[in-house]
Amino acid sequence: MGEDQMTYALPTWPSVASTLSGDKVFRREWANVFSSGFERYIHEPEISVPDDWLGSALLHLKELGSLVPGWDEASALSIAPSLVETVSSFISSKLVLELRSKPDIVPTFEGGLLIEWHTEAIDLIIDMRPSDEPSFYFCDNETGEEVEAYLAECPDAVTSAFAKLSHER
Amino acid sequence: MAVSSVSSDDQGFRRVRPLHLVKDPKVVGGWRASSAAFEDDSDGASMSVYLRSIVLDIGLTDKDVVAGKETKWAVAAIPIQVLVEEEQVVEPDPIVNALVSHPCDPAHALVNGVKKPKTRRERISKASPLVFIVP
Repeated sequence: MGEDQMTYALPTWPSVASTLSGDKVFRREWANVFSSGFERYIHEPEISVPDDWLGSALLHLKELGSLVPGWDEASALSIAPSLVETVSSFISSKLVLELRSKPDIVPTFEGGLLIEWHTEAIDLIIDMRPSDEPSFYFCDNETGEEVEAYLAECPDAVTSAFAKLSHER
Repeated sequence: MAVSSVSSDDQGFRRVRPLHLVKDPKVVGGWRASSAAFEDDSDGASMSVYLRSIVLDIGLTDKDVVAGKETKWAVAAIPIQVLVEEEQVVEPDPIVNALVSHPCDPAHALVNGVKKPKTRRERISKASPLVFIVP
């Protein structure tokens, strides 16, 4: 991931350029995702301060984890406990808890979980599936640019998305 | 572009379960359906909608789409034009003699086409406001 790639979003997102140190933090954290896998990343130190949102989100995740096969009155799969644990750890991470905008967590019929942020500036969906690598959808609502890829394929876009989320007020 | 036998001026009413609602400050009311609500059915059948024009023709409203559903079930109105632009083909599929009938059965339609790309489902989702939420 070279510095030339790092300029990918800067021309259209000056707020990221003006806070490069913050961007570097995100880049380092996400580097863990891509070098060692999602599961290792989420064992980053957690914020110990109680958070009402986190408590509600973890309870919601627990409920999603108890969905039975056919929860859609058809053939939807249940959510694997390991996936619930992975997402629980991710949303408990400093990266997520420090964001002002908190995500929604949505089950898919295939037994996956979507972690969704929708703000004025961006739409970001991280797609966690039981039998596939994590992927994402990102839309910059200022430029209309959309990106859909595996997390590991397009780290700069994910970094930019979190940088934008971190500047949401 | 896919050819649909349904007018592009029509809308498809899609039932949205509470688990598939997400916050979005960009839309009126602050809530919309997740892209997860715009997949084909888990049993392999194409995504179902009820055509607005027929729902109204038979004297019903968007509220009737979620008749009997619990609180926070919602109805998303998908513009048929958007479905066509996303390479979906909407085919009327009125349900007759169903074991468990629904008041909107005559308006039932199938949305055929590939829905795998997240970009596609998200564009459909963004274009489909919630028109009713069960209180």
